[in-house]
Amino acid sequence: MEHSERLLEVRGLKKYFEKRKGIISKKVEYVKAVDDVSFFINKKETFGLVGESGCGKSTTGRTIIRLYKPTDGKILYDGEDIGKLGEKDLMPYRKRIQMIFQDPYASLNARMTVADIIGEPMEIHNIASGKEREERVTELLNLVGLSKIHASRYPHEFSGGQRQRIGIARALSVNPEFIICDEPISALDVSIQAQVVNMLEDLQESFGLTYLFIAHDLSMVRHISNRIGVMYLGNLVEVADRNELYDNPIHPYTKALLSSIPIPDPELAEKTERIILEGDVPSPINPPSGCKFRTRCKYKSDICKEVVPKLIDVGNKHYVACHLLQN
Amino acid sequence: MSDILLEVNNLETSFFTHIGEVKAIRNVSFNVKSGESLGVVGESGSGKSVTFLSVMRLLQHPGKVIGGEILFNGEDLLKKTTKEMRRIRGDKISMIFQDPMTSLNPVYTIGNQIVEIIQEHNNVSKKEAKDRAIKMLDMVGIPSPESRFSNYPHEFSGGMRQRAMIAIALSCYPELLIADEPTTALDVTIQAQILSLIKELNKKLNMSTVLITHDLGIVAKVCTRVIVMYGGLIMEEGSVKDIFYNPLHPYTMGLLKSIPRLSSNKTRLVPIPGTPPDLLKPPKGCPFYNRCNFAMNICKEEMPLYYQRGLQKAMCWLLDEDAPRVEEYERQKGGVRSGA
Repeated sequence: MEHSERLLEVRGLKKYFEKRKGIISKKVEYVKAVDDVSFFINKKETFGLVGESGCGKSTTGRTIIRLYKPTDGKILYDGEDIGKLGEKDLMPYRKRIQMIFQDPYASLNARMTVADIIGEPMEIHNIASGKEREERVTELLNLVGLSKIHASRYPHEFSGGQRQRIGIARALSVNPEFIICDEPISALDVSIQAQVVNMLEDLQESFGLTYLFIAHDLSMVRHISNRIGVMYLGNLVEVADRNELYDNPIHPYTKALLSSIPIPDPELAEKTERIILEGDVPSPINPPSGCKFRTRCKYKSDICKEVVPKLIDVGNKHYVACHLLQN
Repeated sequence: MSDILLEVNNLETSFFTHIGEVKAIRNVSFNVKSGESLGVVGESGSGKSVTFLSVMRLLQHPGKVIGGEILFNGEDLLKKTTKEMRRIRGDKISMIFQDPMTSLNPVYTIGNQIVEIIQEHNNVSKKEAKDRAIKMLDMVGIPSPESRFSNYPHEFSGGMRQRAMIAIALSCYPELLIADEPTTALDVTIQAQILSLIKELNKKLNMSTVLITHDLGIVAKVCTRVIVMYGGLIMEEGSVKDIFYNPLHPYTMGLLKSIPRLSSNKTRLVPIPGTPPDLLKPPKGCPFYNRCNFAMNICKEEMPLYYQRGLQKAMCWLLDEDAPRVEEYERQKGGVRSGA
């Protein structure tokens, strides 16, 4: 990456969901979905966020775009803390930050035509209307590999890959600079995934977009990202450049995660040894004290139980949160 | 005969929907040998699940097998009565599904559901069945199986539910286990646990396994032989090494190219253009015709024949001796090795 001009910086972000028990609402417990996460994203880069389900990667994305109100922490977008802004003050940022969702079936309104789906954001943000809007919809459709004839159709007439393209066209309609891609390809077939990923790369190139790419497919994340953060149970455990992370993983969780990627090469798959983690991810309602990974970690010691490890710079822009590094 | 456990000949399955007949499976033939682990790959709608639901005779209306035969140990399953099939399912052939939550009954304990299967197929007392159920839970790696025996499915995590499903499927020591996307709903670290379990049990119990998946990485790890399906047909069949290092069908080549390599240099992915065919009106010729880089005139008009190369076979006109030599095609025959 060329010199780092930061577009987004997240500091100590927390998002707790209240979980009430019983009919009479007594606040009982909190689901700590995101618990003290800090990272930054440079302009025009792709930051990948990986982790297993329930690790808080989607919640992080949704909190940044302010679909959720953060419980604590700062979301500095271009220098301004958007974490505490009200709806009205957020409007200009809604235009600058857009999102692409995982499920291309649920994220498009089934009763709207494609032209309306793509056109609505332009009306809301007073970008274009009438004839101008129509032209721009055609332009956007061409951009994502569809054509004018698709504009008057409804979502059910499209395949999964085509719907995802419509979702991308909608996100692009307001000329955003930052797009949060929340598992944009997981619902698609292998042969279609590559089409969508290539398109995302082309669009980034031509519009200078910045991406936050959330996914659990580790090989695809490596392919598309410049830098990658690994999350576990609401914490960021490791952040590094893509090659550095995959060639030199340090956190025991990252190591296990990377070794469990199925390799599409039988001889290589035979040679590589898998680190198979014991047990399951603990509940985020009652996460383990100290290091949250300690219940599944084979290197755990006494300190892991008491102290929460901080992200430490190990050089080469590589940050790791693990007590093993202390010694 | 001894070697072949399941033999499917010219199977045809269609769904009779209100908009017409969807030809989901069009003349599919293959076999499963005893003790082997067969991978079935393909995209959604390629017919991989429907093939094995047909084998299990579990197709729901409007799906119907309209032709062919399914020989299991030499007997045609399509000629069995419903009652006879019930004796075979769970006992001789078992199936596990993608979503362990919807496949388990939420109002019965896990233990109950295993005991039910054991007692259905074996003349054993409740006590013996329970002991065997606990043994099965232990075998699939569920910690403290005695106390877990009386848990309900909702008390299990996703990975444990899938283990419980496997325990149910294996409780009568079937000769054939069909696993339909068994790890798609699970996280990678849990997926690794389940796959090594299936692989280990396949060896230990000497049963045959069919693994239906869309993930080529899983196939490379677990399977010995692979069937590649597309548009309701088998496009290619061969050993796992043949498929990865010497693919013959352009679709297989395309699949291998479209997945990211775990290499450090950033290369562009090569997608397969277009979308799969509509099986309401299946094309006359090769179903891959409109997405194939090497398509010729004949491909549009005539369904290709199967060409045998040793133990490997593929359905592609390019393999015909009269076909022109296409350099790019020859180059990609190196599969993953050629960086295809």
